[in-house]
This record gives sequence, C-alpha cells and structure tokens, in this order.
Amino acid sequence: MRFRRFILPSLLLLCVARPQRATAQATAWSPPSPQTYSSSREIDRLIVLPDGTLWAKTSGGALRLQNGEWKKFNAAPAELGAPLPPLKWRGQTVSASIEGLAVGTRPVPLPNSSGTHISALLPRGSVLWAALFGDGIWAWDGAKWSGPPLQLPDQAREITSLAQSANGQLVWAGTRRQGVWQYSDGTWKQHLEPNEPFAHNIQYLQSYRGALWGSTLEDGLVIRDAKGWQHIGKGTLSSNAPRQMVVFAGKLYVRHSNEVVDQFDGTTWKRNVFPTLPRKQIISMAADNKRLYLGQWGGWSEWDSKTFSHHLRIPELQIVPLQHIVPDGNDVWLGTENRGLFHWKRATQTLEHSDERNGLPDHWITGIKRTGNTVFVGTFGSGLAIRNDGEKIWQAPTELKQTGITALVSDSTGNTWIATRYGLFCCTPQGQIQARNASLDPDEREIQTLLPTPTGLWLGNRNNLLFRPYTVLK
Amino acid sequence: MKKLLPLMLMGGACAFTGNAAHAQVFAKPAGAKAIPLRVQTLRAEVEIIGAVAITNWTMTMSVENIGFGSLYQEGGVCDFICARPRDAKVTAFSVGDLVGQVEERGFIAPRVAFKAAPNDPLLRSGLNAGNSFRATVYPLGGWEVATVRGTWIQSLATSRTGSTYSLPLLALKGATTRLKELNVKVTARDAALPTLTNNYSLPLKTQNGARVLSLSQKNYRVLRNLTLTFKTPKSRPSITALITPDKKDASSHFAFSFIANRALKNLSVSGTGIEGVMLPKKSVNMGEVVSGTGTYTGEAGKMQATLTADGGVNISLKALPNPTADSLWATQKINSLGTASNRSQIIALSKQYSIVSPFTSWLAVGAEDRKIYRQVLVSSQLDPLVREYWLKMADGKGNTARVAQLKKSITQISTANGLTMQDELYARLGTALNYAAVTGYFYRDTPKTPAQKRYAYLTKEQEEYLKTLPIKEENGGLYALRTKIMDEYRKPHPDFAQLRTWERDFTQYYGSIVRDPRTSLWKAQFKARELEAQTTAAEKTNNATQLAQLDKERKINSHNAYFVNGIGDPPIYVTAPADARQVVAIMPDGKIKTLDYNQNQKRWEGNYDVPVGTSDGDYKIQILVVNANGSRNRYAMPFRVDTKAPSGKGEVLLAPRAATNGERSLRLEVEHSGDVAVITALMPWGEKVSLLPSTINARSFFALTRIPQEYEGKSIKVTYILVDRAHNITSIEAESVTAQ
Repeated sequence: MRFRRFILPSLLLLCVARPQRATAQATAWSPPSPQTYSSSREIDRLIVLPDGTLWAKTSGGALRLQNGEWKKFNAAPAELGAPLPPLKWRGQTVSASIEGLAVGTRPVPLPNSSGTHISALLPRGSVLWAALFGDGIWAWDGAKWSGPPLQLPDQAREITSLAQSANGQLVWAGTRRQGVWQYSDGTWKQHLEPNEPFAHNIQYLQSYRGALWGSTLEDGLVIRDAKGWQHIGKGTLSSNAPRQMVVFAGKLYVRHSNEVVDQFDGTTWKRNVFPTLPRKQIISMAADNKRLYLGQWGGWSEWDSKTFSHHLRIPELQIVPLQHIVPDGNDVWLGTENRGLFHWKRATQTLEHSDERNGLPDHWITGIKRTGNTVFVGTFGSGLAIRNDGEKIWQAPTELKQTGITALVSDSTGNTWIATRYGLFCCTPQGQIQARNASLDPDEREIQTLLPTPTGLWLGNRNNLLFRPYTVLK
Repeated sequence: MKKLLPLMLMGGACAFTGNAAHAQVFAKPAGAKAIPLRVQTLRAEVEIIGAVAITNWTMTMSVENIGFGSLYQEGGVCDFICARPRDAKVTAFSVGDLVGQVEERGFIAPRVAFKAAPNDPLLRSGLNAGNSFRATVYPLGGWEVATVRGTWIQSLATSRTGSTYSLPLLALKGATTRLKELNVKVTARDAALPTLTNNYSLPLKTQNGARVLSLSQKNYRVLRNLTLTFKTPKSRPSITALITPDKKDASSHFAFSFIANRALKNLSVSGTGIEGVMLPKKSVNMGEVVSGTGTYTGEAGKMQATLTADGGVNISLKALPNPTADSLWATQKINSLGTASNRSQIIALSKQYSIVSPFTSWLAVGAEDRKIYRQVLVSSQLDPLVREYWLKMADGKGNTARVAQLKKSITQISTANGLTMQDELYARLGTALNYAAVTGYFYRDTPKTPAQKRYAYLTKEQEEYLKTLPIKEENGGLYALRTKIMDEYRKPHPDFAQLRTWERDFTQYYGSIVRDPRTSLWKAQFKARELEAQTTAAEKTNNATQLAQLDKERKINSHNAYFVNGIGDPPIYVTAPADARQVVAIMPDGKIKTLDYNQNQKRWEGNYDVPVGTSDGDYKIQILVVNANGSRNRYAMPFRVDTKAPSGKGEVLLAPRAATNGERSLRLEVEHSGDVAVITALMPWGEKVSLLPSTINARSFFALTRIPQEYEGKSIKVTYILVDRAHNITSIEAESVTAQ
C-alpha cells in the first residue's frame, strides 16, 4: 500500500478536551451578557466600493471604513468572499502566484527582494505595485522592477492585500497580523480595533487571578480581565503555541506544543521550569490541591512544590504517551491515544485498563471528567463514554455516536458540558444528553475548549471566543 | 547508511584471499560506497573432469539497505561483486529471474566522437580482473531476499606433487556471521586422479563411477575454504575429452585437460573429424596441465582422437558430452586472438559464449530498463549539442564551422543509436526553447532584441514541428506526469515501483527526469531523514562523538531545505538554513503562516489546523524559503483530509480438526476497502487480537489464535474494529465457520 499522510486526526488533537482543572483559583472574569470576541488583525482581503467605502475581510469577520469611521463586524458580508474580477493593468490581465508575476501570459521574475512571493498587486497608472511578502512594495514598469516606492514600517511588511482610493491618494495595506495600514500625505498609519483579543483560534482556557487566560494556535496567550485584553507572545513564552494551562500553588503553569512548561507567579515568567524530568517531554498536565501532575512517555511525575515522585516504571504504560492525566481524589485517570484509558489506584498501586472490551467506543481518549459519581470520557471520533462508580462497562450514548469530543467540563449544578467541533451538548444530572446550540451561530460551533464560570460558559472556538450565560445555552 | 568497511572501498579486489573476517559479497551502487550483502545460504555443485573444475553456485542474501534508487538515480544501477578463483571464467550469471549477459563495455554508447558521461554506471562496469567477479545489475531488490546464481570453470592449480581445487567459502560468505544453510557437493569424474583428499575430512563415496563428497550444514560458521588435493598420478594418464553435446550434424567443440605425469614434447592431437586444434603449449614438464581445444565434426559422444608426443606417447581421448566444452574452447580462442586488432571478433565470441574479455562485461539489467537507460543516456549526450545547435541557428550562425561540427556530432550519436539526426534535432528542440525562455522569454515583447529574435525563431520552429506530431495531447499529459513524479519523490517513503513506471512513461517521450534541478533537493530530503533517524539512535546511547558528527552533517545537508511532517504531526517543520531570511507556509485557502527558527531543533516551525467542513481530499501546503543569498526554494507539502470510515468483510475460520495438544486454531481474516491501518478482533472470551497485514494481499489482514476449550463446539462471534490512518473507525461482526 502506498504511504499517505493523514494529518486531520492530529490537528483535531490540538483541540481536544484537556484534563480537569484545579479548583482552588479565582473565577475568571466574564461579561454580564452574551459576547463574541474575535480578532481583526489578520486581513484576508481589501475591497474599495464605488462609493469609497473600504471593506477589509478578516479571519474573524470584517472591518469597514466609511466616511472616516471604522466599524467591526463579527461576520463578513457574503460579497467579500466572492471571487474578484481579473485585475487589469495597461489593458492586460495581471496576476500573482507564488511563482511570480504574470502580465498577460508573460511571466515576470521576482525582483531582488527578501520577500517570499508577491502577495498583493495594485495598479498605479503606468506602474504596477506588488507587495513582496515580508519585504515591502515594489514597482513594475513593464520592463524592470524598481525599489520600494513607499517605505513601510517594519510591522507592515507582511502584506496580504492592497487597495487604494479612487483618486489614488489613499493606499491601504492589509497585513497578516498587524491590521490595516493607511498611507496618505507621506505617512503610514496603522488601524487596530480596540478591545479585542490579539488572536481568536483558542486551544485552551483557564482562569488565573481573576482573569481569563486563553492559549491560541500560534499567537501565544490572550488574557482578559476587567481592564481589557492583553497579549503575551514568544518573547516571553517558550513558544507561540501554548497548549494547556493549570494553576498549582498559586502559580500558572503553561505547557507548550514543544513539550516544555513555563511558569508565571503573577509577576515573573520563568521558561522551561522542568528541564530535568526523566522523560524530558511533558505531554499533559493537571493539578489538584496537593500536586502538580506531569504526563510523559510511559508514565507521569508528581510535584508537590518541593520534591518529585515519579511513576515511570509501570509496565503497562511503557512506551505509551499519556495524552491526558486527571487526578481523581487519591487516584489518577490516564488517557492515551492508542491504548484507551487507565485508572491508577494509589491505595493498591494497581492499574485498571479500559478499552473496547469494556465498552469504550474508541481507544483514542480526548477528555476525562468526573461529575459526581459519574466519569465522562471523550473519544476522538466515537463520541462519549459514561460510567458510574461501581460499574465495569462503559456506556456510549447514541446521541453523540461518531462525534469527536473536544472538551468536557461540569458546572456547579451538576451539568456536564460537552464540546464538539459541531456544537455544544449538555448531560443533565438526570443523564439526558441535549444539544444546546440555540445561542450559537453556525460558525460559532467549532468548539475547541470550554471554561465554566458561575454565570455562564466561555467557549473557545476556532473562529472566535464566546461567552454565553447559562440562561441562553438552550 | 550502514557502517562501511574499508575493504569495500577496494571494490572487493581481495575477495578470494582477503581478510575473511569481513563480508566479501557487495553491491556497489554507482557513485556510492559498496554495501555488504549478507549471504544467508550457499549451494555449490562442483564437477571435476580431468584438470577442469566446473562450479555451479547459488547464493541467497538479504539486501539490508532499504532499496536502491530508481534506474536513473545515482545508486540505481549497481555492481554485484563477489569472489571467484583467480583463473576461473564465469560462464553464467543471474540475479533472480534476470539472466546476465556479456556485453561490450560501453554497449549503450559505442565509441564515437564524444566522451561517455562520466557518471554512467553502465559504462563503468569493472573488469573481471584478479580474483573478483563483477557484474552490473539492476534492480537488486531491497525488500526481498536476492538469489544470485553463477557458474565458473577453471583449471586445477597444479604442482609437481599434485593439483588442488579450492572452493572459496570464506570469500563468498565471510566469517562474521553464520550461514543459515550450506550445501556443497563435489563430483570427481576422472579416475586418472587416484588419490583425493580434502581438508574437511569429508568421506568419499562412489556414485556411477565418480567419487563424490558432500558438505551439508545448517547455521554454520565457515572457518576455512574447502580444498581438495589430487596427487599427481604416476601411471600413464587417461584423458577425457569434453565435447559439446547434441550437435550431431554440425561442428562441435571439444576440450581436454590433464596433468602430465612426466615431461612431454611435441604434443599433437589428431583423429577423424578433428580440426582446428589449439594447444597453447607443445611441450610441458611433469606436473603441468596439458589442455587443448578443437573442433569436431561428427556425432557427439563418438569422437575418437589420439594425443601423441615424442617418445611414443599415444593416448586416447574418451568423449564425454558436456556443454562446458564450448566455454573452454571460446576461452582459448579469445586468448589466441590477442587484443585490439581482433576486437570485434573477440567481442562477438565473448558475447556468444558468455566469456568475458578485456572488451566486455557482465550485465544483468532487464531489456526494458536497458532500453530506457539508453534513451536517458542518449538524451544526456544529445540535448546539449542540440541546444547549442538551435541557439546558433536562431542567432543566424547556421553557416559557421561550429554548427557543422555540431551537426556532425549529432549525426554520429544519432546514427550510433539507431536514430535519425533530423528527427532528433526537432524532437529535442524543446531544450533549446527552455533555455531561450530563461534568457529571452521575458523580453519577447521588446522588439529587435537578440533575445526576442531568438525566442521568436525557436517558437516558430517548434510550432512547425508540433504540427507534425501525432501526440500533441501528450504535452499536457507529460506535464501532469512530471508533477506526479515530483510529488511522489517528496514523500517520506516514495513508492519506487510506481515511480519506475511513471519514469519509464515519461522518459519514453521526454528524456530523463534526473536533469530536474530539484533532484539535489530530493536527495537532501532522503539524507535528512536518514540523519534524523541516526540522531535519534545516537541520542538514546548518548554518544557525544557521533552526535557531534551528525550535527555537522545535518548542517551541511541543510544547505538544501526540506520539510518533515510525519503522520500525526500538526506542526510544520522545515529544515532550512538558520540564516534564511524568511520561511513561510501558504495554506490551501491562501492564508500565510510565518515560521520561526527553533535553535534547539535546528528547524523552522509553524502550526496549522484544518477547519471543520473541509472536503475530503488531498491538499498541499506551499513552503517558501528565501535564503540568505536571496535565492528562493519552494516545496509542496501534501496532506489528506479523510473523514470516511473504512469498510470491510470479516471471516472467522475454524480449523477442521484440533491440534495434537487438543486446541483448535481460529483464523481471523478481514478483507477491507483499502487505507486501513489497524484491525483488532474482540473475542467473546475477552481476548483482543491484533491482526497483521497480509504479505500476499494488500487489502487483507489476518491473525491466528486458539479457542479456549470451553468454547469448543460453540459458535464464535468476533467483532472486528477497523481503524484507518485518519482514525475513522468501523466495527463489523463475523461468526465462525469451520474450514473445509
């Protein structure tokens, strides 16, 4: 059989449910009413309408500049996604691809630029402006390239789109992360929307010191408290791809996709605080009032703020990466990608194994959550497994069959909230599983993580970050 | 790359008598170091007639490296090298089902007015000099056990006291590992050699008048060669003539060989139907081998001839039909013809009788592969000349001496390869046009420039030519095929069988793919994966020296960028130079991701995800690198979105009877729709059985298990869980059926 690549599962893995949070921490800030937060810093396309209105399609919606006023929309008008007509310059169709520029059918080589490729074009009378991604704007006069006609600020060099006003006096540049830049009267001016997160592709949510902390796919951490939004990136963190956060002994621990953990004590960041663990790479984390748990290959380590105790020689776990670790009283639940679920009983030092033979619908575990006397287990593609204490066999509710579970949390009333990439579900204390998507638009249902507060749920999505009071989650 | 021994660099030249501690059979890929081949089994059947020994041997060996390159790649064609006795002539050779042939060295490009490509492995095949045998081979399988067969004939080594035959077991096998199986059988047919001893103290048996000794061992460590010693007879020798059989109405060749038990002068052979006798020596001393050949016209087996010498020596030759006579005759004939002045005659004899000469070599390359290789080689020689020709023509220099010279060279090469100069000029015009595109295409709208004229001239010539072509559609087809080939090469584990097919198709119309400048990139990618695997292994042993060396190699290799994205890795890893100005990834939806350099991992990294609703199918991420010197590299990183669950049909076959211990076997088998990665079976008694992929059916998994006694006689329901590579899951159930 030919070798092929299948990345989708792993991509989903990024977004799956994370272990149970430690409970001894201040509740995250939350707004009083339903809110949708998204970032408008990533500009996909700029379009100028005949009336002079500028539209910027962003990864989280759209921006509009009309009569000198900017307005943000959480969804882009459909017209912004429509195919653009061919770009004409000096009577010929011009287009850019990653190979270079094409004027008519004639290819034009790239200029001597440090840019990776031409990412945007703008006809300017007898010359054609081309944005060289990561470098700046160059001009093609039909025979040769000439150096940058406009000096760009360093922040504005990652251009994704160009546009201009009808009289050509205003030029706009959309960027990959730095919003829209406007050129007029010889200067560039940046427009960034106030009061929005730096990025919105949320992988994990945590409350710490009264603030909401969100880890993003590739843009570090976003933080929201009563004062507004903050952003922490790679300059402070070990990577721009944090994947999980837990609070232990008053400190925030952030695990990254590169399998190292940073620590924040409220004032100071420390990078890679556990460099000497026996198995080096930290794959999962959890915490309770006594210990910080660090899942690794073939076992886990426990840190009580003073000493480590290692559980790395349990035969059944050898060579198995522990993707999820969840303390449960004195015991520990361990979720794996290909070996199902393990339940470590500290008192007897024994390991109970569950897989398809015990009714688990899938051996790839994506989340573990205890609510009362019931343990909920999410799986990668085969839904939920539920088992009450004392039972031997896991039950797989048909409502979520064939569905990937990405997050499991419970609220103070005994509801267990179940996130999927197709919507939100709730398992009531009576055991009924219900879809709760009434307050979610279709593009708000690709849920990757959840965080409960006393008044509602934070939902970390691929396309936005939402807060919904329980009262509207119907 | 495996560890290489110094001996390999010598091309196996000391194979026969060399250091027996090392493996002595090699594959030597063109342009690469030799790779030892571990011989697993060795079978040799030796027949000794007079002073001639005929050895037929069969070796099986595991080719430990994962496989050689495709035909055109460096390392695709390799030399098979093994020991042979110094004076032995190899008369037959085969690899698997591929029968070797003796070919003129440089058969693909006869000597004309150009130099052969220096990297042409088929032309570099070494002489069978000294005590090594060397043959050019393609392919030499990397995944299965290779079976190599050969035959050599030799005269026994003699002295005043006797003669010896030695089977170079050590040289064929080496002493570092054991042979799984060794079988040697020696048959000495000539009773004129009365006293026969051997260094293994093997007992002699008599079968059909011949003396036979056998050596059969399993899991055997060879410590010495097998040597047989014949004491020189004191009595008058009898002689057995070998004669080519089954040629009743035509001339046959005969040969004879014996050890002189006293000095003989004025030797001659005569008899009815005998002519063309070749006796290299007319006089010999005691203990020397007397050998000769000739032609006999008459019925095989009825030859009557007499060897005479001074002093009343008169010895009858007894006829013994044996095909080896042809080879012995041809060997002597070739030797008698000398060298250069009779080159063509020697080559003809060499090829006809499979006796290698100074002008010929052994070659075991399939006819189809040879044809393709020939096309590739011809292209590599013709294309530059044709390109220069067309550019001169376009520049209006058609009447210069250089163009005349080019036409002459093109004609010579075309003619030598059965081609027509005029056809080749036009068929290869594209190479000139490509060149012109680089130099002049961009200025084609600028009239009156030399570049514009050149481009216009070539375009017109090509358009005229294309009108005459019956395969216009192939141009688009070829482009797509080329893309497929490149995409396949970029995969971590390219499907080389598929590539071979595509490359053949491609080459038939267009020439060699190896001229693509990205070949160096592909090589860098393969090398990178190899280095990463070695680094991982070295990290486990914490070998600081090796790690430092590997780090150095990684840096050197990272001159060319490559990407690594294993199964289940959501990040994008690109190994590009640390000082690259930018590395970005462009997603299928056009979004741009900037990658950061990770100093610890020495690679550029980024993250991506795929939104819900993305249709199933194959996608590509474009990777763009701007190097420090301003040059750019571009690669495509494919991925697949698959949300469809696999399907299959399961069977549970119960053995018709119980084994001797009372347990009954159960065969679990699932035929699936393809793309299934893992299948497990849940048995009703709680057992979980992992099925393994079948080695004979790509869409089948199977496993054997035993049923507990308490289930004897009961119907057994099995749940099969099929998981594909995207972790889509399907469960199917099957009930046991007793096999017939």
